[in-house]
Amino acid sequence: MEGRPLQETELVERARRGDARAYEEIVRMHQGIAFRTAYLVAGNAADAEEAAQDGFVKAWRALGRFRKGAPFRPWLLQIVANEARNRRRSAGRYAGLALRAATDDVSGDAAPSPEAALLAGEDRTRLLDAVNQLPEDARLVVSCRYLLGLSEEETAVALGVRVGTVKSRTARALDRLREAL
Amino acid sequence: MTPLEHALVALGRELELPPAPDLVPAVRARLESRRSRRPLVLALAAAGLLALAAALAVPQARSTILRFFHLGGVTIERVETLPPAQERPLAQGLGRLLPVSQAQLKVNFEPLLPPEIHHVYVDDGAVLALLREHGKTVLLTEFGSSFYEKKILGGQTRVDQIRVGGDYGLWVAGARHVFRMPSHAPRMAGNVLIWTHGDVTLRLEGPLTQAEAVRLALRTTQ
Repeated sequence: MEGRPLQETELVERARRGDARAYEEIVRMHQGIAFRTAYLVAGNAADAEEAAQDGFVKAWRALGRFRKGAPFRPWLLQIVANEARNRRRSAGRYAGLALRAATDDVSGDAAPSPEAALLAGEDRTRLLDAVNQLPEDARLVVSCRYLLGLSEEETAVALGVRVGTVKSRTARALDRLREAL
Repeated sequence: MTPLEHALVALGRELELPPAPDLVPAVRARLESRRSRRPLVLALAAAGLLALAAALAVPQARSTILRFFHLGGVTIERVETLPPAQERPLAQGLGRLLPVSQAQLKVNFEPLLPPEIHHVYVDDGAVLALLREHGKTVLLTEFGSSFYEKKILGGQTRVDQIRVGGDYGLWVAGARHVFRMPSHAPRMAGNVLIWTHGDVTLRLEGPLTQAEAVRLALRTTQ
């Protein structure tokens, strides 16, 4: 696991010195999570794509201000999330996520994971509805922490809040979900 | 982790998120565009100054034209007040529908088309095609002659200089603008991507985002 951070650190350093090829590698490395983050914030694919693209361009321009040795991904996601929020606000849309379950039943031959076994049929639909009805702050923190799998620290940077705020919002959101279920 | 948190993680794995697009080509194009923007801005500014000087020579234009520049066969004017124009569907009045092989004989350039297009309209030296992209109707117009169409913009319409692969382009978006072609009454137009590829000027009009339009443009000229 040590190879990836080292490689990324080197790529970021090269990009800071103006190496566009190195930056393309960084884009390739993070475009998936950047797009998914933007999608969860903006609520639609077109805005998410533009937000992610603009985020990468702005991050390139801001590389001179990036703190050497700091983790790159949360810094990038903060820029992308801001772009996605700006689009959602400028379009005047409410932050309702257009999330939907891929299938009604777990498919495939493999046995479901213990987590998936918790989520059969109606339970999954009810949980999804409950997440979609959370207030925006709570929904975003739940989306980042559990749906995207970001750490508390990454979630804090991406949403521009303190780690303590992430913890408290998460706790409140989980309470709301328990009540709704 | 509590059972609820496990359930949320599982939900995250089973959600249908749209597939992440490959952003590398678009980001690369935009970074290259920023590096080479200065010469383009100077070129546009020079063209704009010449055209503005010509416009200012016409007394009635002096108070209305705020900015004026060309790209390929397109002229763009920024004005204080938009002239009257009709709202017409994109598919209206497109000319004669012909197989591409016949259409090529009626224009003075080689049309550039997405591979799925086999029939096009020909109108006054231009080739037009209706496309479906992301469930939306898009009009592709191409022409080889210079100074073919005019776009008239109010203050709320944005014009951004962009790159379409290795070509220069303009992205016109925001408030609707007025679009004029020879032999046609002016009509209102929405988001438009204009770019040149070789001697051909291309124009994509429809309710696409900039990223969607650039992707379609690249598919058209590749």
